Amino acid sequence: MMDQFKVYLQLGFEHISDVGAYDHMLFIITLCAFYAWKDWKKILILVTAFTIGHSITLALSALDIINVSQQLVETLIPITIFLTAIHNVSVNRENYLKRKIMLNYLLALFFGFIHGMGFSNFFKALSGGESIVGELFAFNIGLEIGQILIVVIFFTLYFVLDKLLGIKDRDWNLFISGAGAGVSLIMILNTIL
Amino acid sequence: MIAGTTWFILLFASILSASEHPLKMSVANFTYLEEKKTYQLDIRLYIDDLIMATEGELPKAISVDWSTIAPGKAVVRSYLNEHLKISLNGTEHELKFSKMKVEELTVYVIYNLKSEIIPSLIKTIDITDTVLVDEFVNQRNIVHIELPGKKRKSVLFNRYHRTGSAEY
Repeated sequence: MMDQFKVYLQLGFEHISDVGAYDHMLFIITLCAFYAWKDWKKILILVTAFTIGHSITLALSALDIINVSQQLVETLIPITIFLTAIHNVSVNRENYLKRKIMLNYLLALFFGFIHGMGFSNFFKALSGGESIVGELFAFNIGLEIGQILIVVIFFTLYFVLDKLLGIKDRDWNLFISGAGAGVSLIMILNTIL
Repeated sequence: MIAGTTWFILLFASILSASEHPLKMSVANFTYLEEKKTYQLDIRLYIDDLIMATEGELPKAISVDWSTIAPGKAVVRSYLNEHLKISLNGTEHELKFSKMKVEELTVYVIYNLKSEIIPSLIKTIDITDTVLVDEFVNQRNIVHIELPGKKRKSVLFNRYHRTGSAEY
């Protein structure tokens, strides 16, 4: 038994940590693959970009400004993951990290936007026309907490492997991005076929 | 260039695509209708999930208008009667099917519950909500309870938490 805020907070946290709905988790991991654990400030910007994307969706949804096809949203999610993975391995990491504004930030913003849009559509359908701003806000906070947890676990694993095996940043990036590209491609094909 | 081409091809393909939605959830409200002196339980659940649960598979179509293929009243009634139970102060009460409405993505069902126990005398509400939890591992069900003179409460259900209580 909980109050409404806690229920939706828990739902958001469970959603991102749910292996059954791994698209979100896959995106975060693929996004982070490009970075070394020492680049934590840049990762913080990424997470913030994602939060901003979600917040924009929240505002647009609350004001009833957007109404995008759910099918389109659902297919855009794995496409974003796939493009992030391609981007990770197609740019020169050293030169790229010197830039102030990186495409990765925009991808995080865009992903936050479309992912949030998917949820707002479905939350709306269950609300029966009542305002869902409070529920979405709590759900997003739960998502963010879960997201930070995933990032911490991911980089802890990377840190340990780096110290034990001396894994090179480029090898790690190729390994994780390759997995991200492969899984997202299957997800894209599943939505099309 | 490669990324641009990929965008174009996949965006075009996505317009033709159909997919299952990511949020497995139902939302119910348990309230008291003062004018009718009766309790009401209403629930919204996604049509495609209900079709999966009652028929086993979804129609294979490029684009589906769910509202046109929603399960009939008898099927929904039978399914929900099996998966929703409510007890007030330890006594199970019968949920009487009142009406069903098909909306854009969801089925909206209303039940009435007659009881001698008035809201101010309720100490515990025990709920069993197993709607769709066996069909979908990530299914979550929420029941919001709003009774006159009592604090609004919410109970969350999933495959592993099939029953829940609100105490006053």
